[in-house]
Amino acid sequence: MTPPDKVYEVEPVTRLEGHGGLRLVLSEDGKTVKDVQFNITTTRFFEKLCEGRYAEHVPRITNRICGICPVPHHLAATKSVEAAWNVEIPPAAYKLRQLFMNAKQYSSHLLHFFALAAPDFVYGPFADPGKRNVVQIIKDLPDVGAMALKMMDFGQNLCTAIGGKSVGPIAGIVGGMRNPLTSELRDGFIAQIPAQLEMVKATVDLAKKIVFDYWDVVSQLAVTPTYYCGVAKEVNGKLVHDIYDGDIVFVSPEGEKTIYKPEDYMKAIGERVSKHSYATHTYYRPVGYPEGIYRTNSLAMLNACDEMATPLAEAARKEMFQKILGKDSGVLHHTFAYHWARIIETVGAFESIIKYLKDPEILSTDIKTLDVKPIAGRGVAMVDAPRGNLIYDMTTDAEGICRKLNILVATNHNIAGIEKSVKHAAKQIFEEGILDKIKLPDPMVK
Amino acid sequence: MAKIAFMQLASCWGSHQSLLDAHLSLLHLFPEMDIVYWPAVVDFKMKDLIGYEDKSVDVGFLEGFCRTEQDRANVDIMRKKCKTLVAYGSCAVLGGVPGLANLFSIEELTSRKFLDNEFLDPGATIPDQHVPKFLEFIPDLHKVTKIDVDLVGCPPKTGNIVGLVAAVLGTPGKKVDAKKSMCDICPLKTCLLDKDSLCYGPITAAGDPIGKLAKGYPVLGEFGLTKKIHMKNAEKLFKKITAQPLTREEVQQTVETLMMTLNSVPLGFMVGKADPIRAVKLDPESIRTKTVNEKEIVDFTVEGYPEILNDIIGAAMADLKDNLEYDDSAQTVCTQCERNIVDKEVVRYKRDYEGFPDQEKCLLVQGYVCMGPITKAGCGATCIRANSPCLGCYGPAINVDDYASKAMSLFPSICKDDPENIKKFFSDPAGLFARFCVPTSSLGHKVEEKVEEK
Repeated sequence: MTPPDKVYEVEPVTRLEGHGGLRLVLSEDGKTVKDVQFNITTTRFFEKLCEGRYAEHVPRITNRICGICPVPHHLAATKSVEAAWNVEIPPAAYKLRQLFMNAKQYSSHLLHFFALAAPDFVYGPFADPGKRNVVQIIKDLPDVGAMALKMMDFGQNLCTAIGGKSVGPIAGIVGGMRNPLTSELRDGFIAQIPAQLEMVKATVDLAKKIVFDYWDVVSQLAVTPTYYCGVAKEVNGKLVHDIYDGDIVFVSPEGEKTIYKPEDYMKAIGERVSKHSYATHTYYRPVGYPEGIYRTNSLAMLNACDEMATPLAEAARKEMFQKILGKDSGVLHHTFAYHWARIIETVGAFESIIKYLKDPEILSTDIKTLDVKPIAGRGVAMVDAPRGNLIYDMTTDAEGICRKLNILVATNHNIAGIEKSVKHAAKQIFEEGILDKIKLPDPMVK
Repeated sequence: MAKIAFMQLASCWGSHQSLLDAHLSLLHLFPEMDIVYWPAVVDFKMKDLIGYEDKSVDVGFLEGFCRTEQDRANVDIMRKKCKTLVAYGSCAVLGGVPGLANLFSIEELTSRKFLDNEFLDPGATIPDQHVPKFLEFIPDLHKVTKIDVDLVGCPPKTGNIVGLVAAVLGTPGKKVDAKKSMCDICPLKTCLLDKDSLCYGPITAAGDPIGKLAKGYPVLGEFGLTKKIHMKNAEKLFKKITAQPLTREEVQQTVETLMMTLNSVPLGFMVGKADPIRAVKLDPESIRTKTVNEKEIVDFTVEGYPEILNDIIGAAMADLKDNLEYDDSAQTVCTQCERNIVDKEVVRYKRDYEGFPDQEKCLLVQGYVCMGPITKAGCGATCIRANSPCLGCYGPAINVDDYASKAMSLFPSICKDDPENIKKFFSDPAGLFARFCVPTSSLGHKVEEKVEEK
């Protein structure tokens, strides 16, 4: 008889805005990792429930998929209908949407860094679970807490100014946008830029301190080779980081890049049902599963692009690749470098916010084309949500009613990669005893 | 410190995000909250929650709806552990946007999700390892367990949530001195009442910090009533209220003041029918009046307070009773909307992608389906201010029994277009009219007709 396994269950996985459990199966002696499962324990069937609805209303339905990233859902859904109906939006609407996306990116990345990630590093991974959270950071480090909240407030208020609401935004419409930005609101945000810039710099310093303090962890734990899927826009032969408008870029574990148009997503991406998760798993179709397991999100975005769109972010990107790889670009597999990459994207989002706020056309009221007519068609649209690649594949009938919808969200893209990297880390910890070999700093707050 | 638990059923986290959007207010709220469960923020696990003593948590928030057996079990655990249970957000209160799934059977839903080979690799089966079973349909949460408070909205406005949390915590960080009135500590050089502006400072207890009031915002009774009335200003206030009908803005101020000072309902956006303020409209026959200084006012007594205070409150109620700007019997999103209604008839309904909505004119009159007339107020007409029609996320207004049927009767009947066009336009009534409330509306869920074999 085989001895019983030792099973660790994390129920639920916390500091995650979705629903998941983690299941780690070890041999009886606890020295061999047999299986790691990330169980997504619910689903809400959005694709099916959109069938039969007016297609232009889908962006006001699927913006309820995620309360943290409703803006990318709202806009990706809108873009997919525009693609299906061959609608061109006015340039000012394009700029407003870019500003909208970057405002969301800014607040979401900061929420992730301060509320979801930072507690592990501020208190250390072995701290009392009752203390390891942002509420405690606000109590123990009120200045850091206030700074984090002021930054998120700026981003969320900007989302509200453009989208009407920051959660469940509504101002995007097939053909453009519905809610022009007023000069009064715009000036209010411009006035906050200098103070926000100081806070961005302080956040970068804090993030770098954490990365360097935990250098052993960053450079040794869960350095897991996978494929990567990012979004970038080709400009003068270079792939430039862009979260609203770009092509799919797949990066192999060796750093080779392949570009796909969003409408060709099914050539690049396969989708399979796992027995232990209600979220489907995706993989890079040309190499199959499990070889084609890939990851998205900030690190994937930085692996996928040749350069960032803005100067401070580009300098920060080079600094990261130099520090880890000793050269300006390449492919990084360092799971813990996701945090660093996220902060670099935050800098990029902030610079983009400045660029678009200061563009006079951002106040234009010519933000919606009147030339919108439903046709029977299929449209694919893609943006990069804060947690990763987001694809909408919309089919409508001639009346403009949604007849079929396929959505690939960040969770679909990331889940197999998460399992792979957690399994790798578990093997390092339980089989190789890596925690005895790496150096952990004293917690910033004890 | 109040013990608070947040539970996420099937949901998007948006209601929680709306609380986090309070941002700097959290610096005051968080230190007062003893958060004992909040998976997205705090590292307590399910075993911790189960381990707490029964009824040891002061308030529990339930976000989302029951999609799986695990969700139902989580609701039961929360009911057991919490003294007060709040249905938090439109999913919990009404069924929510994902409640549209109830228009399909669970077989239709799962086969699209897991078995559709147009998108998915072939050979799959519905996941069954370490995942909870799906319920056949999304139930009305109020039928699953006893809910104490409904906090509606998709998401509830940040201010609504902070208001509720503050009510639970007992207005943290505020000092109230009922031995003084706000007038006694007012920093303004010129009294607002001398500028013919409405201000309830003379009857409101002094409080600290005064916040926006220092910038000239009028006092709304936020620190409760005082017995040490500022007499001179109180007389001015009585005159101001009784001189001429209050404007729309003054009506809002007055309603808020009465709600906060009379404590008839804990929060303005929640509706209690035994409420003396709304009674002036809901049940005007029961109102007794009297004459003071030749003005007819409502005879109302707050026990133990000076007569002038009762006169002011009575005068305010008398104004509300006859004021057309106060229609709280059916307070809807329209009552908070500032757009002009030129016409009351719709020529033709328009799809949302058609044209560009005029930013001043009523959206419904322009032909865009706006659910404002039948939707409960509380959001401040947020979507409409962003030039987008209301979709009804705050649910039925107080006098609307079934939201979907009310919409079905209202919207076609106010349009003078050809009935065939109207019929064609509303080809998806369930999806449009019950966007946030299929599980709790008369629609409920899809029922398959089954032929019984004998």
